Amino acid sequence: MARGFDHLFKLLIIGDSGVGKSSLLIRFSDDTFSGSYITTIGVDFKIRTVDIEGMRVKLQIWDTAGQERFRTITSTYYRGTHGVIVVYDVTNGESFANVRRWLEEIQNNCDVVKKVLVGNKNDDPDRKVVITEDAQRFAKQMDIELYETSAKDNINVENMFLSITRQVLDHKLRTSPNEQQKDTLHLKPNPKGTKGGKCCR
Amino acid sequence: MGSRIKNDVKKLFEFWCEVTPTPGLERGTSPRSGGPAAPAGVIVESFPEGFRDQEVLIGIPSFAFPCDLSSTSVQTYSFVHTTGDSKWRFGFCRQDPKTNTAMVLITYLPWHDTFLKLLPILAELKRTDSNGFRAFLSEAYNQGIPDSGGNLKVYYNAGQSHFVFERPLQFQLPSMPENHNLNLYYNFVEPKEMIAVFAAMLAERRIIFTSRHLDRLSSCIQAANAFLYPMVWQHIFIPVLPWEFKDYLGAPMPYLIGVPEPVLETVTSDELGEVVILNCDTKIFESPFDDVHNLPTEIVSQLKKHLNHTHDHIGDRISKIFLNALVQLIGGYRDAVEYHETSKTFSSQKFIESRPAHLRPFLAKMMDLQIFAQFIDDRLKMLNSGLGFSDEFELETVRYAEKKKRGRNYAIMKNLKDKYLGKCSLSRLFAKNNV
Repeated sequence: MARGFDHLFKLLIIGDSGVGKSSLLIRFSDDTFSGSYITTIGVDFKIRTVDIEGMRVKLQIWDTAGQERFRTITSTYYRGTHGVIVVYDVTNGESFANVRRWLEEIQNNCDVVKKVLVGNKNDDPDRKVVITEDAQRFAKQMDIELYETSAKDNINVENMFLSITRQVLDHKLRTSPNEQQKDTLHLKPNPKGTKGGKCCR
Repeated sequence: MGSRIKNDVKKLFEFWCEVTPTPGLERGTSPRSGGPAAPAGVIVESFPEGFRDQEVLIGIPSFAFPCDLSSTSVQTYSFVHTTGDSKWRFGFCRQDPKTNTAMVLITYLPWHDTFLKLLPILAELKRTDSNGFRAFLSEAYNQGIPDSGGNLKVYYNAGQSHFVFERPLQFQLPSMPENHNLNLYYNFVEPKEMIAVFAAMLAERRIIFTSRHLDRLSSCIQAANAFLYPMVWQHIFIPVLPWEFKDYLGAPMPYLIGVPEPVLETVTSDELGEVVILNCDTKIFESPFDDVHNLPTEIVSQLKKHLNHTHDHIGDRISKIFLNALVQLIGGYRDAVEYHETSKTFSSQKFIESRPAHLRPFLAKMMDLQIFAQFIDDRLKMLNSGLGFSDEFELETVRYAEKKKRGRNYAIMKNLKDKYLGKCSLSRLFAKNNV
């Protein structure tokens, strides 16, 4: 069976519960069938295949329950992933504080992993408490892109997902030009220690 | 908090039901392709009436019939669901091939030994006296739960018989032969593999257990997990993974998942990626990593020596052996607690520097573990709250420190003695030569 894609990327979405991670995923995903199992087995994922620069990229975006209990999310959590989508709620200052701490941790311990900062629920100016300038300043300091989105009104969601995908793809093509070919030809898993772009081995 | 056990539980159990499987499902033969999979079974009877919590109900049929295992004998096992706030909800299941049904009890209490014992009694009662059966459920449901170490009796057979719901003591270590999970792990898995799994867990790997026996599968995972105490597995934890959920084995994050062998057979190694697998039937352990080698050599050789089958392992000895390894590794965490005016914090650097040199490389890696981070977070919270606490881990740490101190005193004495004797013999030698 042809697998129908040139690259498979596994991404993580992290952020407090209630910031709208699942809404973002549902907006983006083309898997309209599957229900949500996050409250059954504590983990869920959504799939979407996108075309970037003439290549078919299959994305799996994974989410786990109850992350807000972690003061820090340690590097082992990101070990097998290509990129991280870090989400806060622009109407909730505490969700931004958590995300800052987690991002600093990623920055210190897994500098290879690609990331994007997302301020979701950006659809009601009256309720916004995390102002764009502050978030932007922080994003710049961390050297990552900021997207303010609304999953509800479908604002900026597509751009955000494409941005992180492009970053991961660029990184992969740049760091392992041979692997692209190898990956499309063989279904075998890569031998130990040769995967490019993964974090914290 | 790092604990994944719900702590304000009010009821012995939340829900009871009987499930019949969907006929002709033939899972494993067709790959999942889009579309919602047909439910694995249907709930045909339940208690309490009118229970509508979809979060609880949604997973039950698949977990009651996780795969097509054509067993001819009754199977009793446990499974785990994870709630939105990452707490564990337990399911205790009894599959009966004669009636082609499974009964499931859902509870937040991790009292495996109590509930596994209860299931056959419930089945028998239901078969012989259905009114008495519902009366029993109702009585147990409305009684509340006993205090720590206490128990609660529920009568049946017109008061002739009773079942005792025993609440385990708070910090009790799993002990043989009482602990069913530990018994199975010890009986079916060799010490060498137990150590390998322990090492993989201390590296937060993606770990799969597999078996053709659901009871063995879930028990081995539960027992292996208990050896992490005083730490708690913070990642994906699914002791029995139904066929419908097999795509979740592709999760890139650390996990501990029990996969029935017929389910694992339908997954390719490409889908799995870098994963550690223990087969609880063949005792074959496979891993692309060498995590045992990364553990401090002394710790491994002690584990090997003490877990040796020639020892008598009745009681909590096995649990203590693993606890002792963790005491040696992290028991000294208090030495690295820094006291500030308003709070206490933990310094990783100070911690590593305060430990013996041969442990330091491994401890430096441990600082990156979520299970360690949560452990420290919890202990700091307890210290900051000003409440004293002493669990089996803290007690064992004190014992270990005393033993080491005695060992040190002994070493000093021995050193002095050697020196003194050495001098004597030297002077005798001189004396001899002088003669």
